[in-house]
Amino acid sequence: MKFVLDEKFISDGTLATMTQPQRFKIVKFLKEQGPAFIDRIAKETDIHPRMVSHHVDVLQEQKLVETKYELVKINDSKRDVAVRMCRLSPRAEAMMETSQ
Amino acid sequence: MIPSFLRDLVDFFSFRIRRLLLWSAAVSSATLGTYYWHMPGIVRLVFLPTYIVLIELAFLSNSYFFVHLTRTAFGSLVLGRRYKPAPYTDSEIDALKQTMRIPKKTKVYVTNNPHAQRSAFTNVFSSKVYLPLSWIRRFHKSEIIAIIAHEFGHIKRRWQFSIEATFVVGLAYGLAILLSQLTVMLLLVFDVLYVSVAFILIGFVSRRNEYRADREGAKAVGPEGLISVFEELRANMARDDGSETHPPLSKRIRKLKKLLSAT
Repeated sequence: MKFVLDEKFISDGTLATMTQPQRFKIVKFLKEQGPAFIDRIAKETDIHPRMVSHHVDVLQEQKLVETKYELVKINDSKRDVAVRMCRLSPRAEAMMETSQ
Repeated sequence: MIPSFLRDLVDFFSFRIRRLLLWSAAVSSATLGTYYWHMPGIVRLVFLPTYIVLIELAFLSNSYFFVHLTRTAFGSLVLGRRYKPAPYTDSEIDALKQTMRIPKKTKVYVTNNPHAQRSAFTNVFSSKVYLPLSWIRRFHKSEIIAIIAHEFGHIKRRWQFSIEATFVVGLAYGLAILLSQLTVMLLLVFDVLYVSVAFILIGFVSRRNEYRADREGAKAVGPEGLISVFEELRANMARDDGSETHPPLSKRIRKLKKLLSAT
């Protein structure tokens, strides 16, 4: 995974947001694994769910992540569960690129 | 401003080594130093130069803290007169003052003074909090509010810290007096014992004060913001072993994470 350092990312504050190591980890996870909900991100990245929620709020404000509440089936649950689904925004996609 | 060789030398010592040297100076003063005149001449001959080297090392290794403190104070108060801090007003700060029950006169300022960009600073007696401009640009607003809540925690508990600090300085002086009553003591030993014990105890009280401010801040706005700030600061530090006044960030993060699960 490569972090594209463009001048515009410095001037609009994106870089400052991404220097937080846990936030970078979350964005990297979303880039690699695709959309995921808070609890799954927390489990996979080993970050506390409340911290994931905080970082997602910050990333959302910077327009790096888009979130939406969705109903999903988790494990063998009979009913759908409402989760906050997070996905990378095109802006974040432009910033993170996979190196060959 | 600081000669580079001195900075390199004092930077060479980690906080653990600095503390170990200080403890060694205090313990050797309280034991061998106190009973200096009771020792055989040959032991005195060996002890004195070793003791002086130990004191030199202990005070030199701890001097960077004072050099840094003096530089920041001089830069902020004398050289920084042209950097007028700008008031930082926000409805969330006013709400925070009410939640934390701190004096309404408390004010928050943002400063672009280059001598005060390494950390936030609070004058607990005039109830003024100064935030570096670089931090305002670097951290998210919810994290800035968490930092302010931590600083408000210092203001809230200022008397507790003042009493504890005064008590430990008295305690260190009392210990030096007590030992000097038992035997005839070198003036050097008395001074070293008093200063090193006072420094160790003030460090302990100050680090406790930081944990307390973290807790107060986390109680008011939640621990997430402060944890995020500490994690970012830690990622940019060469060494995270704490300082004379602040505990290591990793320990503070660990304590705050316990609050995440508790609330």
